[in-house]
Amino acid sequence: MNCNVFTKNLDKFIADDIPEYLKLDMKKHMMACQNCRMLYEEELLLERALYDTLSVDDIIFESQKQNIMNKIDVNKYRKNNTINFKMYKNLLKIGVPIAAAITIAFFMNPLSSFQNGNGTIQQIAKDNTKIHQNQIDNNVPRDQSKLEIQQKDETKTIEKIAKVSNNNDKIESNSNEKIFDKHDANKDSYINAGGHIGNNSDKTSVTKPDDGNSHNPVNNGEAINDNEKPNEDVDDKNTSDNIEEPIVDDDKELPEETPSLAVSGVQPAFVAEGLSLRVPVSFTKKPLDLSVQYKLLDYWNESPDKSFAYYLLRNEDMLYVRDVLNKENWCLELKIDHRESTPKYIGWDDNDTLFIVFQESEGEINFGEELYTVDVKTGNALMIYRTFDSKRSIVDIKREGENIKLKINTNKYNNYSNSYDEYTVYNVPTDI
Amino acid sequence: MDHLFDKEEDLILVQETLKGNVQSFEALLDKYELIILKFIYSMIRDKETAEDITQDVFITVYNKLDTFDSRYKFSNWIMRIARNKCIDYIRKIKKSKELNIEDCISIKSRETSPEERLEYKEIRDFIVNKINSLDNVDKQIILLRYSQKATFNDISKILDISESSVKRRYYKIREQFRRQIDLYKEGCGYEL
Repeated sequence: MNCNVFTKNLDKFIADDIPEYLKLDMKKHMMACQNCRMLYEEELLLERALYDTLSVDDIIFESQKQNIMNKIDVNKYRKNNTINFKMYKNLLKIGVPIAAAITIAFFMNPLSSFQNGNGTIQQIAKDNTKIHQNQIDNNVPRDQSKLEIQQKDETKTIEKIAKVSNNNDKIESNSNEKIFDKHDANKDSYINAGGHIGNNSDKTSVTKPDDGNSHNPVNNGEAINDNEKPNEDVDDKNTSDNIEEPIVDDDKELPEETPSLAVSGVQPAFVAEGLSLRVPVSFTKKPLDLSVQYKLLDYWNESPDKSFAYYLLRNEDMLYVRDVLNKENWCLELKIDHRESTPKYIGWDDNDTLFIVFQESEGEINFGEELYTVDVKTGNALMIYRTFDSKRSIVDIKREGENIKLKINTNKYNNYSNSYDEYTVYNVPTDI
Repeated sequence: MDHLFDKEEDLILVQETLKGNVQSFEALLDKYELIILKFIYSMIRDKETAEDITQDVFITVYNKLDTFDSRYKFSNWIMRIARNKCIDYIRKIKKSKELNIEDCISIKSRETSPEERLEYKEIRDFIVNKINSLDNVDKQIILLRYSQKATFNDISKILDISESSVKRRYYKIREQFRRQIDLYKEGCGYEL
């Protein structure tokens, strides 16, 4: 410690604004240096003068307590008032967001207002979701499917959640209850992209779950086991011709109130477009060549618990899978039978299931995107969502329990405007 | 000002007041009344006015207690309210320039030699003049520091400026004081 350092830090020393070690050094320095000690004493004098000058300790004030207590409203925070205040606060908390959400939902979707002008949203959805219950072959042209759909009067298994309701504070709970109830009534209604696919299958081979297990997903997202409901109008012989084991009874239809996949949002694609679901891709499990294993050493993408890993070789349409714990490797060969579906995104859903988003295109024309979950152990796949629209793309996927939340970007006005909608696909099983 | 930092006790009293327990507010009043009186007096330099403004401060505190954010210190919150009331008052009556610290300050007696006493009084007079010439924020920093014994951190919260800014201003003021006192002692009597 020298005098310069001491002088520089003297103010901070007086204000007790220096580290302890520096304070000790300065004290030691003061013991040895008379000049610095004098400086310190002068600073102390200034400090004392400031305290004395500004001190108000000698002023005798009159207490204002009684005046203050007389002027305040002592009942302001009494229980009843607090309850009323909280009640209004809670009402505001609930009511304002719901009102805002409804307003946004109404104005953000130009189609919704159009539909409202011609009938209720539910009616429009019902009309637009005349989904053919039959298994439709992958090669069926989109236009043909569309025509068939328009002739059907069946109910789709998707429910639009964002309903306008006067009972604002019950919207969410009511909707959820409804969905869960419906799901319980029809647990086996899921869209299965792959079903149980044989390894040597040359054509798309989709088999109906043979044990009637209620938890097994059923192809095409339609409830096909309900024999009690007559089919109102099904005429699609062509589409069923190519299927080895037709799993859908043309004469049966799904009851209106038994949805299997519930999608919430402003305008679910299924409802809006009313297109039937197909089985566009399959994943065939095959053993993996050792040389390939060696090549892929550094490229594996591990699952969250590091029990499995995958690598997607895009140009070969091969999804390589490694069982890290058992040191086994295999590949899932992607069979894409229609147009040109290419994987746009791949990521882990849970420890043994992948999310894969396919982009469907033909030449330079984009037909939309499809989201699947794929069990890496078996190759079983489940179609979760389809955009049906070249302007809509999946930009975010998030699993929350049994539900999957999707963020869909809609490109409007020739790419000059984007809007984002959130959908929830309910009750998507983790075991496929 | 250490006694002001019993944050937990203050929070309990605030919560109890919000539940309708007026005695808790009285406890807060007992705890902070003199502090606020002194703080306001140090800024206004008028006893009656300080008492009136103190009333106003506590009535505001009571009426807005449900907006108090419990993440912060109650002491800083009430000091900010007091400071704002003082500023409102000064603006209102346009007396800020007329207020003179010297008129209201009585120096505590202390045992010193006549020479020391004379020198000390000169320094004190000099300080009074110097404080009166400070800008508003600097004056509040000095007042809070020496009349309320507030820490830099508390001053920063009360004045809503950063702690580093408070320290910078404080050390600058002290440096000016020291330099000018040195000049005064050398016999110039004026800053060159």
